[in-house]
Amino acid sequence: MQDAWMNRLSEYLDEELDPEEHKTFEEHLGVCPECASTLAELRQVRARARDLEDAPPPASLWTRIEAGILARRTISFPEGAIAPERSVESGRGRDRRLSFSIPQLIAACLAVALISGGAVFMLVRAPKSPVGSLARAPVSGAMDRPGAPRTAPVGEREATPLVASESTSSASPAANTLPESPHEEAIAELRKALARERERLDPATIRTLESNLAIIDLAIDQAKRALAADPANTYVKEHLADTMRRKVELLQRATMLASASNTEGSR
Amino acid sequence: MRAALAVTLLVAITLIPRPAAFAAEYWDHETAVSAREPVLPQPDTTIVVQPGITLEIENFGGAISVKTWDRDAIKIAADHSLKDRILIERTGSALRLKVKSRRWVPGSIRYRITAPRWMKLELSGINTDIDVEDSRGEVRIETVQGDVTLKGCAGFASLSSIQGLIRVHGVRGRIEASSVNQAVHLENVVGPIFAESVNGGILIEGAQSDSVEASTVNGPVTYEGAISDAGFYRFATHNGCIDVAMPERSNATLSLSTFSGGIDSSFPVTLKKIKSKRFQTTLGSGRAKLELESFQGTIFLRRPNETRSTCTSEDEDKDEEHEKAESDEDSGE
Repeated sequence: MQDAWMNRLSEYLDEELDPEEHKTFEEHLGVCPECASTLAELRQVRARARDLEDAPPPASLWTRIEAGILARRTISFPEGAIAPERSVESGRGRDRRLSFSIPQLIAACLAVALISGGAVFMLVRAPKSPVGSLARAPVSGAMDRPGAPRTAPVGEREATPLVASESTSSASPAANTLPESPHEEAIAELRKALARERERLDPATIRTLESNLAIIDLAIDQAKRALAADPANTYVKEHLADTMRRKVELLQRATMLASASNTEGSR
Repeated sequence: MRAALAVTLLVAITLIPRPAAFAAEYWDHETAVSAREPVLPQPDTTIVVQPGITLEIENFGGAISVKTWDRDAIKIAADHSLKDRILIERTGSALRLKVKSRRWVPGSIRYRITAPRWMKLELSGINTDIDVEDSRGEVRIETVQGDVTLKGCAGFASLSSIQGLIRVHGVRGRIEASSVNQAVHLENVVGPIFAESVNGGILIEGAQSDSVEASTVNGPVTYEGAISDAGFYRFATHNGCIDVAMPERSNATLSLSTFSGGIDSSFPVTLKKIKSKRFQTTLGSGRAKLELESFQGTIFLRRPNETRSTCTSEDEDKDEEHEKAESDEDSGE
């Protein structure tokens, strides 16, 4: 005969029993070999399931799923019924609208985030051959306290144009040996977008943005050289990724500023 | 007396907010700010507002200054050219001030606003200095070429400028402050802090916060404030020093990272090397977490009553030595 506890084994394993039930059940296990043995089997199943590797789906799976979707899309109408203006199939390519459910959109976002994150991870992990020693940046140094005289910033000495391609702005050999990252792709895209909108920005704003982009470029270049010299340095890897993120954010900000100027006059 | 009452009633009826969105134009007799154009006295306009309304101002040049009071009304005053007119738009949830200009380039407007203390403020500008005092509502400020000042406020504040200084004083609430080409200076802030710059230093004084993140690319980061036992603090720069004043008896785990900089402490600490140029030290129970990172600057730890580090880089030291040597040679000749 099966006792009442047999149906609650999963709850016990999932730790869903309240403390009192948990205690009672454990006392029961001591006197009921059947429950104890089933529990042991369940534990084994769980352990095996945990050890299983995620196998990739067979290549033919999507073909079958697609065929199934297409078969469902074909709508048949009984004879004599009013024909629809267009069937789902006839509308394809003419007025097709893509729609996604919220879970699909979330899944897509997660996929993009994972791919981007993975690529950044690959970037910061990639070991590089040492290339020379780190050239120290010109240091402005002065504390930027209100009223303190500002020294010439790094970027004002080595300004790169807002529209310059990434290959011209990161000119060091060490920099060129590192793989392209999603940040670099984003930077290239943002630079293109900014180049289209550049005239909308005030020249003083452009100068400020260019000098600051040059400062970030210099920091990136130095971080890349440092990474080339010390590929295992996790701080430098994180610092490089962080500095590149900062560059993306500045370019995004500049692009948004230029776009917003469409209706508000020159910024 | 009756005439005054009638005028007041007429003004009130004109300014009563309507349910549908409306746009009103005021100031046909504006005050000019340009020396070439006539200057006329500017009367104030006061509009009654319902709680929950946001004030939105977009300004090309000039300034926006917001003070607050306990009334559910907003007083708007502005100095500007005769060629510009201020439009007041009202939608369901916002009162928006815009400028209509009769010339190609928008003019310079100096707004002087007195708003209800609770009012949410969204202020933006191009060549505009913006300051807000004593607000209790959410404040969002964005300018391109201009300074941002926030004083005596309480509530969330997001402040940003491309070419301008950010100053915050005596504020309670979460602060997000960002400048691109200038410094960020936060004084006596109570609440979480996020501060960043690209080409400017970050100075945080008298902070009481259990969450502080401050970073820049080219400039120093200085922190003088409480270290809460359960707090998280991150200070980072690429080219500059990190200067942290903290009591010796703090309960904190410090992680210090640099590539070609140094580490200096005015009180004894035992640095444990984690990886190349990555060190850790624990004070007291080590509950608070501090991450201090400077790619090529020095990380200073000091007691709160000790003077700030000068943050002079080694290169500058060398330059100074070089200049001194040259001047000595010159004088010798």
